[in-house]
Order: sequence, then structure tokens, then C-alpha cells
Amino acid sequence: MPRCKIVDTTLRDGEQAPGYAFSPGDKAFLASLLDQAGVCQIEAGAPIMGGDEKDGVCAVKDACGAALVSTWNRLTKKDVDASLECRPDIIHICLPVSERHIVRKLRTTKTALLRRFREVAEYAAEKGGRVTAGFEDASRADERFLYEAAETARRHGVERIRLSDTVGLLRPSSAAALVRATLEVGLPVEMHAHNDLGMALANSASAVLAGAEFIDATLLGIGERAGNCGFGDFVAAFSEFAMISPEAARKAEGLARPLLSRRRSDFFCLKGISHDQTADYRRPCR
Amino acid sequence: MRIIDATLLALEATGGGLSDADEDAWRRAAAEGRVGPLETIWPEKTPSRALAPEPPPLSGGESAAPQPAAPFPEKLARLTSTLLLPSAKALDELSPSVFSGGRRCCLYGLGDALSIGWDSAFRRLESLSASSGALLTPCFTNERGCATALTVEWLLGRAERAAVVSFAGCGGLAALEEVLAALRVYGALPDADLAALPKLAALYSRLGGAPISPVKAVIGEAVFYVEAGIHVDGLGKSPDLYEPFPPESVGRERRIVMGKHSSRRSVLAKCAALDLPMTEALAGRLLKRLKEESVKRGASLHDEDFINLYSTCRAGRDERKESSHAAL
Repeated sequence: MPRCKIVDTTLRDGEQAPGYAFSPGDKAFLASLLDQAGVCQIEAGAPIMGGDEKDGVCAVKDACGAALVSTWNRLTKKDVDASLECRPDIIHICLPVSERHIVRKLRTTKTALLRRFREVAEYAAEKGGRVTAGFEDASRADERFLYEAAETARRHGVERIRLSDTVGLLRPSSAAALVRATLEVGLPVEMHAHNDLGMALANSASAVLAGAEFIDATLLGIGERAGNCGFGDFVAAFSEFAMISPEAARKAEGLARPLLSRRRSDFFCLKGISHDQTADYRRPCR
Repeated sequence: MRIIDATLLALEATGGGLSDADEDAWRRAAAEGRVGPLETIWPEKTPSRALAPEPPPLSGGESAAPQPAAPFPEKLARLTSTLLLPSAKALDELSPSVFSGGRRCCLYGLGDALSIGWDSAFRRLESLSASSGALLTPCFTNERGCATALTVEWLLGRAERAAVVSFAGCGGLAALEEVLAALRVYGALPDADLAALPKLAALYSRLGGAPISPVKAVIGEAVFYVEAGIHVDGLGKSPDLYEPFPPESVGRERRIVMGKHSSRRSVLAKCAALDLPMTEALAGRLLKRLKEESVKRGASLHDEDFINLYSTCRAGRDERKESSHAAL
């Protein structure tokens, strides 16, 4: 039976969802719950954001015992410099890999993009950081370029590749195919699923069966648009894969829920309906 | 492909009786929406209108009075021949002779098919179907959160397949709206018009369905709200960078929300949308105040709060300007 570790991104991708703004204290509180629950890595934020984001990442670092702390970076040395000030365990660099993201968002070419990626990844590694790469919009990327990018990452000291289904378009069969294609390069794979079509849990499970060793999740599944793969739901549904007990995950979500549901409910003026009482993807099970 | 909508049956099973008017309203709303190849299973009290996979069994037609509440699978079994399969593992021991009596049979369960190998489970269903001659219609259950994914993979496998679903996944099934949106994304239902889904969602709540979360996939009101500066920037360049399909294609709209994750460009875009005059210097100051205010509240800001913040920042500049004029 395949097993997987959980990378939590509540404090980065989760917080990005409208309705949330965590203080350094909030981040430390949520991180300690996740650390105690047994997640292997906590993505604490993007220090380049300014404000008190660096304090938040440092607070997460202080709050964690076993979990590794990572920061999220765009493809610039400036972002990496801001991260290094917080002394994270892992520097995570986002590399958009689909044609539309490369051309329309970054307005660059594939060759120039990979050159820039090499520079930034080497820079981060030189400064002593462990580096992971996040392939943004991997589900809409050309398979040949995906392989080329993964191979570039491997040759320049990247230790793991995150496959982001940025707009939640995968289904179990395509998620598995994407994981298998990336694994050919020989680096461990991490799946980052979104729930736009209600398939985040299934795609994550399918990725594990195809060989992904890491699954990204957020507390209560908070995240952009329809959210991410929910931590408690995934661990409960696939306890045979997750190296965390469903009880520990349930306890962490239970303690985090007042903070997360209240803020969401307040923002959307739900008038007494708490986030977890409504029919989101956490639909009633039998 | 046939998508069988069991929403009314599931609502009855979870909440109690529905009136004929309610049922008609749902049927009309679903038909007007032209959402796809949809068939509706009616609750038992109106067997004459049933479009179930199989005509009602013996008990049908006895009485028009509402039946006592029963769990969903029991209600389904009264309408069509139904086999309960809590685990997909049971498929291996199933003999084709089980299905020899009926043309069609609904298979309720199979929610664990993903983790034990959904493709082999589907192949087994196909071979059972072929050797018995029965049309097997799965009704995947959602105890592992995989009902939508299993339904979509099943329906995409072969054109003549059918599956049972319910709106918002009511009763623990695959969610109708997710299945439709996914099939449209994958090109299997290119003409499905899903702009009427918010209307169906409102009706669903009126008929006693659970309140729908603002971030429920496909039908949530706030699914296309966006705060992160990097996403706002990307959406300005090309909306499909950060949206799986256009919001208006599911009857929703995009909205920029202001908060801790806003960028300078978000501030400029929002102010332009709200017709607030803006300068570079003011944008910088406003962004700084916005981030502080948002963290202080622990939440994003509503438009009216953002406008107040804008006014304060602008007034602050005017005051300073006045005082510097006074100093001269």
C-alpha cells in the first residue's frame, strides 16, 4: 500500500482565499496544531509580501517542533532574499509551466524561463537552502516541457517537484498520468489539488496511487475559489495512505475551526450559519 | 450518456415530504436550464411520472399518500431494482446471474472504488453488464469524497453509460452540478448551459436542502471572488490563467476583494471599478493601510469599508497638503 506525507498550505494558499488575514499569532497557533498533528511540512507564507509576513513565518518556525517550515517564492532573487531572512527549512520556488502562464502572464519564452529558474534555484541552494519547485498550472502544461522543466530542476539541486492543478481541472486518470510522467525524472512528487470540480480529494488519492509521496492540504479545505484538498477529509477518507491518524487530524481541525469558520462566516455575512454547516465539498457522508 | 437526477428523492429522504408544486418547480427549473441529458427520479408518491431507470416495482400505484421517511437507498430500491454495494471489493464475488431478472439495475455504493483501483472496478462492471445483458447504473456514494470523480470517470468511459447523482450531493451522492461542469470542461457536454445553476441552487434551498457554502464548487456564490494580488494581476492579463471556466458560464461573477494579499495593481483596479480618483502616491499609502487594517480585523474588507479607508487616506493627504501650504 502506498503511503504519503502531508504538506500543509493553510497559511499560504489557504490564507489567500478571500475572507482571511492571519496575524503572526494566528499563524503560530495554526502551525502548532498542524505540527502536533504530524504534518511533515508547513508552507508558512510568502515573506516578500511585506507587512508582518516575515514575522508570521518566523513565528511559525518558533512554533514548530518536527514539521519543516517552507516559504513560497516567485521566480526572483528578491523573493528568495526576503525568505532567507526568515531562515526557513525549505525554499519553495514557483515555476509556471503551462504555455498560457509563460506567455500571457510572465510574457517570456520557455528558454528564458528555464534560464531564470536555474539562476534562482542555484542562488537559493548556494545560500544553504533546501529547494523545492512548484510547477504552477502543471495540469495544462505540455508534457514535453514538463519533463524538460523537471529535468532542469533535478540537475540544479531541486529535491522535490510540486505539481499544481492551479485551476482544479484534473480528474483521477489525468492526475495519475501527470504524476507518472513527472516521476520519470527521478525526483519525489507532491500533488497540489484544487476543488473547482469537486475532485480535490479523489485527485490527491489518485496521485498517491500513481506514486506521489507528498499531498498538499489545508485545514477545512480553505483556499482559492472552491478551495484545496481538505486536511481532515483526506486523512479520514484515505487513512490507509496518510501517515497521520484520522483522530489527530480531526483534533487539529476541531481546534482550528472556531478561528477559520468564524472569520469566513463574518466576512460573507452568513448570519449565524458557520462555514462548516454549509454544503461545501464537505458534503454529508453516510 | 444519461445523468439521472435523484435530488427530489434525496431531499425527501433527508428532510421529509415535498409537495407536487415543489416537484414541478424542480422539474421546470432543470428543464429550463437546458443543463444536459438529465432525467429526474420522482419520489414514490407520484409513480406515474417516474422516469426512473426501471418502472416502479410491485408497491407502485397503491396509494398517492406520502410514504413514511426512509433512508435514500431504501427509497431508491422502491423505485428501481437496486443492489447495495458498500464496497467495490464485492464486485469480484458478484455473479452475473444476480442481474438476469432485470433490464436495468442500480448499484448503490462503490464509494471506495478509487482507493482499491477504480479502473479495474469499472472493467468488472462492464463485464458483468455484458454477460448478464443488464444495464448497470452506478449510484456512487460520497463517504470518501470521491463520488463526483468516480461518476465523471464512469460516464466518460463509454457513451451509453448512466449514473445517479443529486444536486449539491444531497443524500451523500455525486454532485449534479460538479458532474455537469466537469463533463462540459472535458468536452463531453459542449452545449450544456449551466448559467441557470444559481436558480436551481436557490430552489434547492427553498425545498429544504442544506444551505450552500459560498465556496461550494461550481455553485458557491463566492467561488470567483479573488483577493491575492498575483491572481488579480493574472486575471487582468487573461482570466483563464486563474479560472477553470468563465464565472458567467455558471451564472456567477468575478469580484475583486481587498485585503492583506492585495497588490498595488489590485488597489488601482478596484479604485477604477469604484470610480475613485487615484494617484500613485495615494495607491501606495492606501495599500499599506489596507494591509494593516485587514490584519487588525483578521479578515478581508468589504467594499464599503475599503471606500472608507480610501476616504481617510485621501483626507490625510489633503490635510498634510494644507498644513504644508500653511507652513509656506
